[in-house]
Amino acid sequence: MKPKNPKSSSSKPPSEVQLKPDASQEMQQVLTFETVEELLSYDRSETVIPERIIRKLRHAMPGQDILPIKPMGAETAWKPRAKD
Amino acid sequence: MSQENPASSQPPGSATAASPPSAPNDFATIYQEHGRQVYYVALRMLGDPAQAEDATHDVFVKVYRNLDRFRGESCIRTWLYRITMNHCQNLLKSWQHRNIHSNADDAIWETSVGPEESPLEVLETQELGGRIQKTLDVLPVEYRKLLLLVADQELSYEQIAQITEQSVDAVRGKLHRARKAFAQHFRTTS
Repeated sequence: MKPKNPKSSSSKPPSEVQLKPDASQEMQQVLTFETVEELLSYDRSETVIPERIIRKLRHAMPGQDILPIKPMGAETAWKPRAKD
Repeated sequence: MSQENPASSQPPGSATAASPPSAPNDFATIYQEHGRQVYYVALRMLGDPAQAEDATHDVFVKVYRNLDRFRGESCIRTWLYRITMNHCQNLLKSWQHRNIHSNADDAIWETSVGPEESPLEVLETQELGGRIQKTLDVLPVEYRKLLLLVADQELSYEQIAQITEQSVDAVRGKLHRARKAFAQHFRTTS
């Protein structure tokens, strides 16, 4: 399940579009999350991972070809947990 | 690098033989696939991006050093979460964290009644993360851990029970109270 108005890179306005100062409130979206898990999952997907972690790990482990963390795509968006 | 009880980062059943062929041993892949979860848990457990960065680095150094002893009896994700949770909890203890909850504090949360069933609405701003952090900060560490784990839908309740070393029934009961407490406090942060 995804938030009703999910923020995604595709839904963001292009950076060159200038918004009027007083338009910002109207442009805000209200996200609705049915569960705490869904909210936290969304927060995790939006969290920016500092590049410095990779640099430090590469320094600590010179032989490892450590690549940037994969972004969370639609396939990893929140879905209800199967009953177990 | 902070110190941690080495036993807490030992893979389950790590005392004996070498890794089986099925055990993941590509460190770079493990970081790429699980780094986000580790950083996010560290960030929300510790509440500080710089500390979370250091903690993520330290966790993966531990993983690297112990990877040859991971036998694949548990999911690698479970193992990573256990290391991360132990590491963060040790840091919180060593800082003698500012929000120390007594049993009495826990009792307040456990008896509180919140509108847990209604949706959580958020006006999208950059403050969302701040509101979540503020909410988590006032919850008991036990609730914080469980909520962060259950937000990863790839983890089953059994795996959460394994990571937090308690029964599945205990996990379910505490999660019920944790969700209530979170929802109740989250609304006050708007």
